[in-house]
Amino acid sequence: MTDPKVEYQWDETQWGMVIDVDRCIGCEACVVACRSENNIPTVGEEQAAMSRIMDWIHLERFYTGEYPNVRAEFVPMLCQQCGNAPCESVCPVFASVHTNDGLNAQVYNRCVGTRFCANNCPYHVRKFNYYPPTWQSPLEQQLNPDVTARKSGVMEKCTFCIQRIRKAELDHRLEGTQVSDGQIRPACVQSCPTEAMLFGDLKDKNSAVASLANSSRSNRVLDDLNINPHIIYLRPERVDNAF
Amino acid sequence: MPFKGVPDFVAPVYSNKEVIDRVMEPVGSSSLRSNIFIFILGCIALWGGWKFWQQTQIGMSVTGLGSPSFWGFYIATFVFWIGVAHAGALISAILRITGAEWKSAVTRIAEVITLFTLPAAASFPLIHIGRNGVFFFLLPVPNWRHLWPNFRSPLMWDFFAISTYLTGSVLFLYSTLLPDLGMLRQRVTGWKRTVYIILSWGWRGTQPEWKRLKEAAALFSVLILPVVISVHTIVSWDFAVQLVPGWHETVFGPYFFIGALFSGVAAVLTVMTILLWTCPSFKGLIETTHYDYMGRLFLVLGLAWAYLFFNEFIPHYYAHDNDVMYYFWDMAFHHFAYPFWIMFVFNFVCPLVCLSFREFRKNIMGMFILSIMVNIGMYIERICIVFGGLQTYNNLTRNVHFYFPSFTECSVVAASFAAVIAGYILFCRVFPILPIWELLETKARQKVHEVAGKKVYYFQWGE
Amino acid sequence: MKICADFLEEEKAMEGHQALLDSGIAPKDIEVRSAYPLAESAVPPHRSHPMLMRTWIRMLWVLGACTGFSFLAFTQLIWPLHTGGHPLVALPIDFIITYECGMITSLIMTITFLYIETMRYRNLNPPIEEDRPVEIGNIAVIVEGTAVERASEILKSHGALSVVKYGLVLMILISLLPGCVVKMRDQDYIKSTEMSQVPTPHGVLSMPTQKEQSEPFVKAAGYFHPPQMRMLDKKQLTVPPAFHALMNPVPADKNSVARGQLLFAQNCAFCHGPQGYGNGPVGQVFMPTPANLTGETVKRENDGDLFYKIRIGQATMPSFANRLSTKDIFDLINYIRSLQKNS
Repeated sequence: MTDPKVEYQWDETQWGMVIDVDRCIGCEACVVACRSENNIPTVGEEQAAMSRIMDWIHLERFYTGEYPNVRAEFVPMLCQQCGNAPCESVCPVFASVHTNDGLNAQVYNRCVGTRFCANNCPYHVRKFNYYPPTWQSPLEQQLNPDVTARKSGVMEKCTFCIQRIRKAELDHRLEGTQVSDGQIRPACVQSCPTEAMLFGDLKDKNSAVASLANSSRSNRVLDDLNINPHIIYLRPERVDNAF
Repeated sequence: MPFKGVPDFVAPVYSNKEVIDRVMEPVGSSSLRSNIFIFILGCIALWGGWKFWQQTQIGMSVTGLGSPSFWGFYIATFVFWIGVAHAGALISAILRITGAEWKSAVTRIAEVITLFTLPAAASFPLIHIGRNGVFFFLLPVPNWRHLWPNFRSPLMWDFFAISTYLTGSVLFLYSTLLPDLGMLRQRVTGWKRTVYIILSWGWRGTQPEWKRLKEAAALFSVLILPVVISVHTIVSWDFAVQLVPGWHETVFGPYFFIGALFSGVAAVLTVMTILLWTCPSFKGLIETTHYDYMGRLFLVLGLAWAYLFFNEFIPHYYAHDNDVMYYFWDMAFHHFAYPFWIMFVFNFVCPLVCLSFREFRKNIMGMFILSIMVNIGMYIERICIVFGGLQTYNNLTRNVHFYFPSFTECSVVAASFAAVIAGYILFCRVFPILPIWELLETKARQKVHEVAGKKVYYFQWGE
Repeated sequence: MKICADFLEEEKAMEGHQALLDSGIAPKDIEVRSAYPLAESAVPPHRSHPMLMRTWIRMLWVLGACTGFSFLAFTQLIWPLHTGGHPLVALPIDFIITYECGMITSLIMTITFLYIETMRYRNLNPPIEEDRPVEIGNIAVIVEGTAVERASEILKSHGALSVVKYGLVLMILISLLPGCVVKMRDQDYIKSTEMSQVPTPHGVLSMPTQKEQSEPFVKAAGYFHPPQMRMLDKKQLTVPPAFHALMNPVPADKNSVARGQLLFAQNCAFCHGPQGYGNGPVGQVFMPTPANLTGETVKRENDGDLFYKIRIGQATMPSFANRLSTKDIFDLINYIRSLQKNS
């Protein structure tokens, strides 16, 4: 288990998540919530068969054991907001950049669509708009005005609901208070019925995510690639688990 | 008397005037058959252009791409064209530097291949991006937005490398074309003569001019060779810097470079043969000795390619590297089994077996078929790397997508082939495709020596 | 005045070239043109115009590389972006771009230097006589200047296929410029002693006397400085139609031509040169120098014009009416025509 220390000493917060794989039941409420919060289009059967699903969060399923003792693990996979992101160095136009608060930001109007970043993402969480996104009526009435619409030919991915982060920060700055732990919750975190996902500041020693990140069950996906993802997964408490 | 071994090669036996007439014969000619062919190629190119226009309007959904195959046929074709474009530099520069006498017939053929395939290659990075309208974001031009491209990305290195190679190649071709342009202005009248006068800079053929031209040609050769090495190495780094297993190899630099030289020589052999067949006046200027020597170079490059190809897989196999072995297994025995083994036979078995025999090397039809096979084999190799590498990047089980090129992608690729071939034919009609001055120089430098009653030809360059 | 010798083989051309140099013709007057580069050792080095290409290209490569390096260093400093803490441009990448910038600079500069260094040798429209040998793959040796007929003989003896003489248009134009006074015919020095009657179809013309025409001749020959150029009245320049229509009654047989040759050597060669090129030693002090009798202009004139010019004179050429009889002049004309035919 590695310490989730951030590679570079930023002064500001470093947003991160902790996901308890044991608690995840695979209901995909987070997927639906993400889709509605972030104006993600539904692609339809044909495009889904071509592996062009646009969801920013999806569940990876791992099955162990034989019938009748089959066990399934569900691992929500979303953009890991890597500290040492492999997608950032290969974008030729700086459309994929790292913010001071630890997020990997995708700048839609700068993206030229070379798809270099998507090749290099080991988690395959980056999505490409193969055609202009459309919503069948009346779905366009539930679009979120806080989130930028994307167009054909740009890459997109999970942003840790940056619109919610910024809104909370701005509101608190107007009031003159500090954002407290647990106040900001991305859509997926908010919608999870089992509270398997936690969001917070990894740098804040008192936050829930920081303390859980130190637990004995914590690890990160594809950690050996040395890309410093900001999402810590808590292994299920099993001796014989494959994860 | 300095002997350079006992070469088989004999300079053209025709008189100077006849050499000139033979080379100039296709210039300015236009037959019905050839015109119809160019017309068909033009139609294919326009069709591909229209399909590309559709792609810009509809979006990349017209391609067969899907996660994780974000790069497909366009990128494979891009790498293929860059590989073929290395023909020019290899034949021209290396043969000039080593002072090979037989270079005279093939240098310009190779350089013109580069002239047309390199822009075709350079167009693909512009074709395959999602938002073609804002391609200028890639250019390092100061702007009001205070934005700059990311030089850590290999695509930016590509931009510099390809533009350097294209500039160098065009200038190299132009400078060695000057004397022949001077000769051409004598043979035409009217506005064509004016055009050739301007293009040839009033070349007169005095000895100081020749001295300076040879110096410029030597400088170009020496300069273009490192550029060539860097170009395909940088293109290979498009792949090698990524985390994709099977791509993340340090051997990709030399592997792609040698592969490029290999497919370049194959392309030159193909074009040489087609020229020999369509321009019967070239008989005696392009001879079987050229094929023999090119065949030896071909064999060496093929062996080098095979060496690097095996080095790509065997260390991973030894180390039980699961990711790369999954990629290799899928390629060799699963989805890409047919293309992979065809490539193996075409690129490794056939050249090794056939080119080892001098009789085969001197057989023009055999060499032509082999060169086509190697061209196809190298194209399959690029396809295997690009398609296979991404498809098998499945460390998380979600992404399973078998990528196959769509009709639009095939149309655009076919258009690039058509444009290259049509451009080449048009070039052959406007400029002489064999360098007259080099052929005459080789003739002049040839000396005869009688050894035991047998005539031995050797070349004395006198410098 | 130029000649262009056509050689089939490189060795013969080089031998001829060397022979020309040995005979004292200046290297700057000789030019060897070929369809392919001749062997370096055969062509003497042009010390006055050394090649600087290589040195410059090396320097400019360094300049280009520095430009590339600065370009990326500028990128590093002026365009900061949050990039996860990584340096904006890593050093290895800087090397790649530096190297490519150096290479592209040197490549462009190579062709620029080729253009610049060959500028003095180039000619957008070279004379057709010079291009013909090169066009068929032969070697052309071009000699310019005063020693052309000597050069022509040397080159012929070394196996030149043909030697073509041609003059610069300018020289011909200059040679046409008149230099005599107005109303030349009225002046004393061009009037001859005898009033010879020339039987012409249109009547008799009176010829100038010796006294009238001896003066400028003595002056010119004795003082060795070019006389002032004096313009003839335009009317005087044109050959009167009567003379223009004159036919040569003397047939151009062997005797006539032989007599003409003798007369030429005695009366014309010191100005017009032994072969009529206009390079006779005495002629060089005049301005303009004597005409090239084998050139296009003189070829175009008919016998009557030539008769008039010899008889009456033109520009600085005196009248020969006092020394040459009519038949002599016609023999001379026959010889001149034979010279023109042989050139």
